[in-house]
Amino acid sequence: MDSLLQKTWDIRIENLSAGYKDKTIIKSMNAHIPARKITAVLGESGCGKTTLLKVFLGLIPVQNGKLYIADKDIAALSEKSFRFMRRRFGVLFQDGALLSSLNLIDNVALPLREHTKLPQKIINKAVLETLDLVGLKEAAYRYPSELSGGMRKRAGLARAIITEPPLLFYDEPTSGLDPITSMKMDQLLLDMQSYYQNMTTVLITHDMNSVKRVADHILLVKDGIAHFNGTKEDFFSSSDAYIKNFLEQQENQEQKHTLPDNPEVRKALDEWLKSQ
Amino acid sequence: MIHSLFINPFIKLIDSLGATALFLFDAVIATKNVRHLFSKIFNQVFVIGAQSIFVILLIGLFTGLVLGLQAFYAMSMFEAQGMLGSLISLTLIREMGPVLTAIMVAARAGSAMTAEIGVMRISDQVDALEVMDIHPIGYMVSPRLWAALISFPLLTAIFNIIGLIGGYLSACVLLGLNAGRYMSGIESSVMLSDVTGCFLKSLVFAVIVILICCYQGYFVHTRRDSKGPVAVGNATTSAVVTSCVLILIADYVLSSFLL
Repeated sequence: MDSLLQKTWDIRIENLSAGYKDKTIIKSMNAHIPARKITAVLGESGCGKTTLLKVFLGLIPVQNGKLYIADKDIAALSEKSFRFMRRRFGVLFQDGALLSSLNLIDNVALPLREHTKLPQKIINKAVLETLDLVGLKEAAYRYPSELSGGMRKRAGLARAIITEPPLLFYDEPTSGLDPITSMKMDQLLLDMQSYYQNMTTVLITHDMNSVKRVADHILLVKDGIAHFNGTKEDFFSSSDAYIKNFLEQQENQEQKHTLPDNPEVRKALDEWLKSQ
Repeated sequence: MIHSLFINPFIKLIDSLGATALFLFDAVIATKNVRHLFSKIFNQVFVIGAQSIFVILLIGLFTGLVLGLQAFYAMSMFEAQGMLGSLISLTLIREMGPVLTAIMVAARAGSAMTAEIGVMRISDQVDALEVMDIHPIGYMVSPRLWAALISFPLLTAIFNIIGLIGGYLSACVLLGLNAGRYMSGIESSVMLSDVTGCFLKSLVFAVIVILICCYQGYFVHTRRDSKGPVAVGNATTSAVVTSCVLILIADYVLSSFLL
């Protein structure tokens, strides 16, 4: 357990293959996610980013190769050691994944209540401080269904960091948020990194603006393999054709789209409107 | 042809039974690692038991009233109204009490359970529990199982008592049967074995309802007929229907052994 108690954790991926019963999604991937940095995992839809996250979290087993987290081969760990390791992960799921039957204070307190013997008073104090950190102290007694998407993500982040994890995963933290809320979320992510300086952050995202603002390191996934693994500066100045094309595509997403022209549908809609 | 008609469904049935048995085994084993188990069980006793009392009182009362009414006229044909207490009490305690209570709880609390767990499954909440190293079955299913084992016999007892009161109101107050004859009929015919049989049935039904309802919600993402919120709806319907059918089958099997 010695390396599991070390303060900084990194991730090494060596010839890793993983996927579902009938399909291998991650194919002999090699990469390194450095400790104490924010690493953005990028790639087109369906390239294997979410599968990779699920492999990190132990929700999908490794088929081949090695995955080292904090210098431990996770496939070789005993169930007890793996559970101990996973207890030290912080995860912000795409929509927060807050338990709908609990209010915010109970949601954020959950890991402490389930894993520690701290008195209720201390847990409540810690929870309120963490909710204050993410700007949700006023909403402490509200239920997830009463919150906006951005608030749910911030509450999910509060739950993820309450145990001060050495490894924090964000799954699309800015998806579905307006640009201003996205920027606030990014700032929150940077604040977390400066507050918990030993934390290693893995950010799964499509949002290039967010990547430019927060990432130190990039892992670009293409068809289940690591196409690029290096610093943000090297990534954005790369002359690689695929990276250039990828960045171009991301920029073009903001350009005007050509809408489909379907005369039959338009005619039917006109007739429907006339019949009203 | 034979494969698709008989062998495949049979294999599927065995597969489902095995998976359900493993799920029950997991729920029982996971109990030992559940933190704050008693408070979680207490909460579920409130949801499954306390919140079902009103509907159980209502159904129990009207079941007793109808039984009293029908049985009074049927017995009158043989001049055997004196047996009314025996008939109502044995019908309620041996059969209708445990069966109707279980069906009502399956429809009320069981369906809510399936929907809640199903929604947790499709919105990553179960994955979140797993990643926080909180055993999802231990957190969601085990407390419900133990709470049901406490609540079902109590609700069944309430149903039986209110049913007997309904029978009394119907037969004695409305139709004029002598109250002493009604009471002595109950006293002379109900044996301890009837009461223990009644509670045994309610315990078996509790396991069936919780197992089916939680299983359908927990594995909602593996449904082939639908995905997402529609799957949660289908799982809820399927949980209630399957629970009711299995309650009736189990009732027949248990009655065969108990009589």
